[in-house]
Amino acid sequence: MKNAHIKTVIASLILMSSISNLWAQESTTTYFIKGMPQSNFMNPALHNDSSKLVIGIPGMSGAYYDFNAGFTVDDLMHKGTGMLTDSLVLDPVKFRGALSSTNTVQQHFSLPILYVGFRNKNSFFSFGVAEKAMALFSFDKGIVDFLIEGNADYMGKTQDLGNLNLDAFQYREYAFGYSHQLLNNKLTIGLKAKMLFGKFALQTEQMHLTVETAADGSYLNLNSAMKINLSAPLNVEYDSEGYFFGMKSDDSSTKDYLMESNNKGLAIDLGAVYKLTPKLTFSASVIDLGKITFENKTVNLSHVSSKKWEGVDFSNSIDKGSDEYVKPSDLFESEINKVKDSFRPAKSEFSSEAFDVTIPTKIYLGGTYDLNKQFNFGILDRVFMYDGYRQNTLTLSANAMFLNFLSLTGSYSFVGNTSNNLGLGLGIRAGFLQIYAVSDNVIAYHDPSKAEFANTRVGVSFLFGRKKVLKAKEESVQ
Amino acid sequence: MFFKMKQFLLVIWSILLIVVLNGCNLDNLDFSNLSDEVNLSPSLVAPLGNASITGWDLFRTGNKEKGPGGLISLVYRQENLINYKLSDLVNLPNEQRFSSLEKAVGDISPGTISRKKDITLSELISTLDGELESIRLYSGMSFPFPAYSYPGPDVLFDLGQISDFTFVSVNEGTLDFSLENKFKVPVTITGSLFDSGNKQEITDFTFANVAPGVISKKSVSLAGHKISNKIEFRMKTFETAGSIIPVNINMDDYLRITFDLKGLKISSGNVKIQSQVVDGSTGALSFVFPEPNMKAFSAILKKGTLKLTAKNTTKLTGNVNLSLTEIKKSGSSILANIPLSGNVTSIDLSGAEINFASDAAIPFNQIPYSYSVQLENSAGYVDFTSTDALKMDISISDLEFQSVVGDFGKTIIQIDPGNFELEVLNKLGEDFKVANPTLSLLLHNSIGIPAEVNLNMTANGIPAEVNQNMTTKSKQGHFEALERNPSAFIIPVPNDIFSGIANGTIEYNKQNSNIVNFIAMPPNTKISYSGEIAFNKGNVVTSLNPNFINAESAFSVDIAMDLPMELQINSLSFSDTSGISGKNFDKVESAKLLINSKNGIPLDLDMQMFFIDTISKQQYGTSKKTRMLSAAKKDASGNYIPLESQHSFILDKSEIENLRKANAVVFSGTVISPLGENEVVRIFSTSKIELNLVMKSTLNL
Repeated sequence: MKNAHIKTVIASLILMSSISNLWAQESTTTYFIKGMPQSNFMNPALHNDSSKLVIGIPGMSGAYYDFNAGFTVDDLMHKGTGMLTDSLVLDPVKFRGALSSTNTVQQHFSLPILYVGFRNKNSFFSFGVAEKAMALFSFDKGIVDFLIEGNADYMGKTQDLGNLNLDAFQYREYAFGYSHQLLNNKLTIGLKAKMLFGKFALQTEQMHLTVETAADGSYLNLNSAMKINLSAPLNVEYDSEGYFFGMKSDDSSTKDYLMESNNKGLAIDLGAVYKLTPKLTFSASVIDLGKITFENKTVNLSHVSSKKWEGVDFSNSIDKGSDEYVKPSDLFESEINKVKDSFRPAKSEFSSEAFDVTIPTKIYLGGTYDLNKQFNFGILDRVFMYDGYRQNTLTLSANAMFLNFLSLTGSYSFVGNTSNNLGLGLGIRAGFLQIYAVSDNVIAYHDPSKAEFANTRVGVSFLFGRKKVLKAKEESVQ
Repeated sequence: MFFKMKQFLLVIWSILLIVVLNGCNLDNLDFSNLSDEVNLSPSLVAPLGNASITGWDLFRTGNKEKGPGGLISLVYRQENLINYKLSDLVNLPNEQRFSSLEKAVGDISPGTISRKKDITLSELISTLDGELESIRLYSGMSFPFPAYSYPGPDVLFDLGQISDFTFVSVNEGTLDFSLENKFKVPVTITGSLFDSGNKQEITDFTFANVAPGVISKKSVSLAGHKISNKIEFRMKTFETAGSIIPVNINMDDYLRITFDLKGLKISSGNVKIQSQVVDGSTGALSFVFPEPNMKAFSAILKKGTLKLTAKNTTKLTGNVNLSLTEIKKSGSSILANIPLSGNVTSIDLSGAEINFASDAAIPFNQIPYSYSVQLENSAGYVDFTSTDALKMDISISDLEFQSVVGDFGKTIIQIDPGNFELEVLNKLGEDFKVANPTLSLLLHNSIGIPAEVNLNMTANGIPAEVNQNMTTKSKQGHFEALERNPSAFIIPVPNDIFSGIANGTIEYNKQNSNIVNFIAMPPNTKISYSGEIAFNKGNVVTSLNPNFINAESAFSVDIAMDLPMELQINSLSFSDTSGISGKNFDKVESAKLLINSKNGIPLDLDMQMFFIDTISKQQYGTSKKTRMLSAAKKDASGNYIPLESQHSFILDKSEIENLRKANAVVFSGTVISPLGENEVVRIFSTSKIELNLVMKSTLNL
């Protein structure tokens, strides 16, 4: 059967998922890869590279993308059978089977604009500027159940379609890092202070839907509650009756947007590395502990609606000859408009108040065991926390450095409920130039449609002052 | 060994990386290949609507009324079912041409024509034989006048030419002549009046022994005489006894002969016409109506023009003075002067009143007239014959009657057969009866002719072969004539011509007719009617009890059907057709309509849907016949107690498939009285059906 609307909804989910391929969170494989300074982004005390000076090439020092959802594209659509062998077929039932009670599609973006780090004896200083963004879309399985099953089996019950949340924000980060070796170099502690300037935020505090079906079907009670905050260069428009009509760009320029500085925030990274034995090292860090207060160009919407649909009263639609006759089609149109109106926010439900956006916090706990100076095994647990959402990633890795120019890491990660994530990290040095590429799940690229999680990180860095201290430093670090 | 292991890992990772990257499969992300197929079949429940429908709402027609206690009546009204204008009933002429009036001119009268002749003694002496010449000697003296006798021959004395004619034939009149003796002696004269023009004597006479100073008169009839204008006095003898005693002899003494034509009626001649009125004529114009039996007593004309033309073949000039005393306009009789010259005289008769009944012998259709002829002085002598004819044409054109009173005769007209359809029952069928129907004929009549109407009405069921395909079954092939006792009825008549419209109602009810069975015939039944109207049937028309009509007179019959919704139902079916688009149901796999109802009407309702194609006339199956409403109960007091019920109307997959093929759905309902046709079920305007409709359907998206 054809249904453009269903397709549109599902395609939207796919699109949102695919967007996450363009943005990325930190790769856990990167955490232990040998000879790469980017581990510092996940633990300010962790330095896998001993270079005295590290310079990230503006715009090229690290680009990230990932995909992270509890389902795959293949769950939602796949090649059909028979006449549809060459076509993609939407399969809502299979899709539902792949869902959890709550489902999240995450998307992150991080683009370092500038990074400089240098070592001074036992201390390491860094300064970085990065453009970051995150989008997180979550939905409850109930809404998919409703689309597939309808409400016929729920007469006399209330169907909770759950929450629909879409949070997205973009900010610029100015990070000042410092780490220092203590206890005869056994312990390294690090701190990174970050100034954040928000540019855009969409925050769904609440968007909840329920459908109550009367036991005899005589009414449907449609309830929705939503609380949404927005900070963006947009103006809300209202119709002549004072209801939300749409949004329109304001007069601010792209430069105004990129240099937005009225939405301020702070965050810190804390980290520590402790070498328990010459071969055994533990590390821990808390990344992005902070928030941004959006004060500029804010729009807040708090809207609760409840509409009891009892059909139309066609008492006056029986006798066409009556002066009070109303055409049934007009009745339905009128009632449907009333339903629409009840879900349309009124001007009075909008305000312009500041709101806080807590940036996702990540906790890393790791340890390595060195077989020798060129090869070790690592284990890392990463906890991602955002607004009550938690996701754990456990990564096992084998890390090697060949001939002092080739870094190679293999990993296996459990990301959320997925366990088939085979990672690979590769770094090549050519003098002071380092080129690297890392992915936590290279299998995903064989058939992206069947991947629940994938990421890749590619970058170029300049590393100076490494050769002379390589062996000694590496020994001290490890 | 470890180095080898590192080398091995390097190789393995490299191969893995190459395989992964080379084998990247993006086919499953090519959204351009996304099919329209979606394996989604939700089952949805949604209330369609609710309604509180009263009995009043149920009957979707404007032709309904509330009766006692709110009892609903379906009403049918058709005005002018039968409509006759005056022109349809009575044929009145729009012009009238009367027979020409023709009359001989008749005798004319020249008036009194007088002539006189004084014969002096001197002239007499000179004219006679000379014997009295001697007396001249004594002229101026007193002397005995000698006795004298003149024996003849005739002595002529010219009386002078008559100027009034040259010759005439006298039909009537006298010639008066006299002798006045101014002599001193008595005289005796014999003589004659001689028409020298005709060379004949008119009369002879003798004045005997006329004493001095005495006038002696004679008179003779001239009837039958032809005389000319040259009349002579011929003295045949003269005699006097003279005087014994002397008398004054005066030569100027004279004898005066006087000649008067009196009372002449000239039948012909060559005369100078003197202004005079000659006798005319009287009579009656017969007004002819197209209706052979029509006898008009009087009439008022809306308009009309009386045209009068004289046809004169004589040399006479003058006018015909016509008087139509029984045609009055503004209270005055019509008088007309019609010139003999032949010019048309027109008289506007708008508003004129005509009395056709002034003649006691023929008290209808007669317009009496009288006229005379006014002759004018002729300029000279004209030939005249009394038998010359004067003709006069009389007509009335542009004739329109405002009203006519009379006897329009006994006539019968046939009512044009026609039919009408009781639209209010068109969608009802099968086996039911309306318990107390009434059919009223509303009569409106302004024609003053008593009439009896015999109207036949029949209702015919539709043919069996048509009925077979009807979703609402009729009583096929059945025929029912509406019979009433009495069958004929009298049309009300206004009291008089000024009374306007008389109204009356003829009712057919179950007491006086078989209307219950008659009304049970629908649906799709046309009621045919025909009949006749008999005018003046059994009515004796007199001048005191006349018929009358006016220009606006009309007779019309409206029909009014009153069908109180007191029904005896075995099963009553109805249907309604709604156009649909089958494509709208493409995504529907099955549908179930839940009907929660509270029915205050003591009737069950079953419903069935017929899926049809109105273009190809094909039917694509039906739904199952399903109970939709359960009848209200009746308590001991006879009140209806609403009944709550829940029913469901289901369309399964095959029925949905049929629905998709259709472009229209016939909703065929059957109303059933649980107590059967013996129970009279009343539907009140306040009877209520409360409905809640819920649609439960499975969609295939």
